[in-house]
Amino acid sequence: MDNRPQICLKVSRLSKRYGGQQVLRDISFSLQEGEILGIIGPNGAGKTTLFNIITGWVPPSGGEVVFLGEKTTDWTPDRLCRGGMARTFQIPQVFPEMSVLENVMTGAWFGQQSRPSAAQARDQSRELLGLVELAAKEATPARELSLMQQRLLELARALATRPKLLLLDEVAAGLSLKAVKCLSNLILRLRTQGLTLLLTDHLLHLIMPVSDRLLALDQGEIIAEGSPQDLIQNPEVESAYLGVRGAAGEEG
Amino acid sequence: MKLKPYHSSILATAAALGLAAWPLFFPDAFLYFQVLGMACLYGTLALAWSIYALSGAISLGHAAFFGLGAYGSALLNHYWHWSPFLTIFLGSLASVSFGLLWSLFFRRLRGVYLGLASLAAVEIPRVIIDNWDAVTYGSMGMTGLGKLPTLSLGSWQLAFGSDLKAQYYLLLTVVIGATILYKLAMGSRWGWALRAVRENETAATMMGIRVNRERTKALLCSSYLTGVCGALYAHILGLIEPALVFSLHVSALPLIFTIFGGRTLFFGPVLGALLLYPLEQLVFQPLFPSGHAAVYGLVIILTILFFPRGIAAWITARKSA
Amino acid sequence: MSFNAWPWFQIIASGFSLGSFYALVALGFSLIFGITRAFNLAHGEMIVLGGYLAFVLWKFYQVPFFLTLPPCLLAMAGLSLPLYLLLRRLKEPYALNTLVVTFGLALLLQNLMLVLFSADYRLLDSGLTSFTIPRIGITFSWNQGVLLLLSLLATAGVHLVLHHTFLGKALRATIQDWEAAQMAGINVKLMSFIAFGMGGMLIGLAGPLYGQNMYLYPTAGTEATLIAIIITIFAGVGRIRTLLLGGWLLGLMESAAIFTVGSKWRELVSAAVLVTLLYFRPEGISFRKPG
Repeated sequence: MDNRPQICLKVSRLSKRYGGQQVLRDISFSLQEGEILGIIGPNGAGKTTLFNIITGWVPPSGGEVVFLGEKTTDWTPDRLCRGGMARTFQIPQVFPEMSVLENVMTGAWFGQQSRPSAAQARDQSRELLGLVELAAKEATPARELSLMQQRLLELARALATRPKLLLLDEVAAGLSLKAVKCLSNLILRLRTQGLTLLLTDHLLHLIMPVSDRLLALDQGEIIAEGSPQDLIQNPEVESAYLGVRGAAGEEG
Repeated sequence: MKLKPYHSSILATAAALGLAAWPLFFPDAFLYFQVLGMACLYGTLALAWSIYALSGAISLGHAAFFGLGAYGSALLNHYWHWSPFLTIFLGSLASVSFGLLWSLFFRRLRGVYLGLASLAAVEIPRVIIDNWDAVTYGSMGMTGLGKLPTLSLGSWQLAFGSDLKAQYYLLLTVVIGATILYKLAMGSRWGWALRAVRENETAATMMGIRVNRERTKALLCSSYLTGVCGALYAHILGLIEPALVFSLHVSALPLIFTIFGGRTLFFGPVLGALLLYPLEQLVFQPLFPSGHAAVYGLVIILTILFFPRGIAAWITARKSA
Repeated sequence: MSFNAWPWFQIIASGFSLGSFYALVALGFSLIFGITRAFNLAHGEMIVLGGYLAFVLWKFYQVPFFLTLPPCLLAMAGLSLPLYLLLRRLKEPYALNTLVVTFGLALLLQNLMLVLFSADYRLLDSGLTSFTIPRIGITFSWNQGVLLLLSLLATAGVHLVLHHTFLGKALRATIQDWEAAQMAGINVKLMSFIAFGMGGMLIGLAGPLYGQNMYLYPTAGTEATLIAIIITIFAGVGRIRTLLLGGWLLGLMESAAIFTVGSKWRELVSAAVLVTLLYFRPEGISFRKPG
């Protein structure tokens, strides 16, 4: 094996059109192992579509995705999961009737490359529930959790699949400032364990402090790329982004 | 969830022992052997239906598998004179082939639309068999099919075809075996995957579960067991006709037994069959000689309205309280 | 290979009258589904029940065919109201629950009809003759004519109500967006009630026509239900003209099947069409704006 810094994810010239509407145009970027990349942009900029293409939910109209050296553009989401890519959704997708522990166990049992025993899956899941501070709720059915708790549960479940790359879609949406702070601590802790992360958010208070690098997306195109400090001063970003911030802030 | 399986296993074992033991005290209750034997067959059918339902699918067309299994076995028996014990298992492969086509065509259907498609799916084998007179004798059906053969264990003769008691024990064994397999499947890794698929397909995919593959596996198991039930039915009656096996009635029964008995517990489908079928045969048939099956329609409407989780949930709720 | 012209005329003529009737069969189903989101799998059974009612009136009380229509209309509308009250009580998942409950209702009705009318095949003979158009040689029965005329009249009537009355506006709004209609002050419960009433009347009209053109037997309803589902999926809800087109297409396909491979294979057409339709449109019934 070579010792160059490993590329975890490489996206080249990705585009997507729905009918006559160009949702993504020529998106190229790459992500090194252990890096945290944030994608910012107003609602409707194409962040979720980009996520859906990378994770195999939606086929792109053009371009390709290379994950850990393999071309994964036509892989199914479940195959990508077993291959080491996990994600969360804007609206948390939990198993409503399963308990919190069972939710996480599902990830550990089915999502890993190796197949752990049920007991191993349970132990790993308990550990992860401790990490996201849901251990006290392990017997509660997932439908009874609050939005914040469902997000954390989804995060724990995604981690249970032992991903190399974790994609978090709008993970801070609808959370209080305090919750966001907890979450950003957690994210930084995960990175020290060697996880690569790709985040989106249309508000900046989570993504700014944790990201190594930011990518600004507007109307399906990358308009700027750089460190969080550089990007926030970029006039183009400011006009595309802050112009809608007032409206977006009401939802957030 | 932690205590219930333990309680319900004891309950189910007790019920199974009771069903096995009562003929010792009433050796001549032939009507009851017949009715309870058929109830066991329908219980197996309901379990077969439930395997597919574990993946979240509500089928309104299991009569297709039932009828194909029945015809598959009947035709092998009729033309090649193979023993029913062999044809029941081989003939049911017709149901599995139809299951493969089903999973191919209905791959993208969910919920209500899967139900509607399954309703139409019954018509296809029915019309073909109804009209293919040269092979299947068309709508006249076939009579004089081989009865279930006699098994000799030393001096002990088990005449499954003619002795109603032996037949009852055979069907009881089948339903107990199917229940045990169903319980094992529910508790296995595969059963867990099906549960995840049923509860949230998006999340299940995201956790690396091959949703379509698991669902297809469930359908194939379900279609095979349904086919076996149909084949047993044909050889027990000794006759077969399309209107009998490809009917709305056959599609509806496993659904009604399962929903009435309770979807969440492993013995729910069998419980429903064991309660409702004797009720219909012993109470309603004498009262209404021709339309007694109307009671099933009534039961399903009332069950959905008043206790959608089924009788089994009610029993265990009372036990744990 | 004598390529005679008359079967094609015959196919088209019977296809159109059959197809118009199919549109009528689908109309009640589609109206009820569009407004209440309830699947009525007992739709066909209710039509057959209406047919039996007309049969009884005609056979035992010597009521002329056309006079059986008003009592059937009223009776089936009356029967739809308890169904409305029943389906209103169902909980989520609503569509699936209505499917299972009406499936049970279909079984119930089939058995009731077996008790009341036995399993024999019945045909309502309205005493109308057939006539042959000279030269072309098409035989066209007055039965088919009545079928075509009444089906088209009823369809046109529903179209008029939906598109040219205030009530129709409210109904269409409810079909398109239930919540928005409620927000706009439309009494959605009343609309559901009306939908079941209208649907019941359409069933009551379809019943005697069914009995006059096709054999009545207790399990005949399944096919009519399938036909209603097919046309509703083809057309989406609330679009009467597309509904009529769907009915015609299906009618033409069936009559073409009768003339080419024989009438016994006709029943396969609707099942095959439904499976194919769902294969290509797995999302099912669309709620696009009525066009």
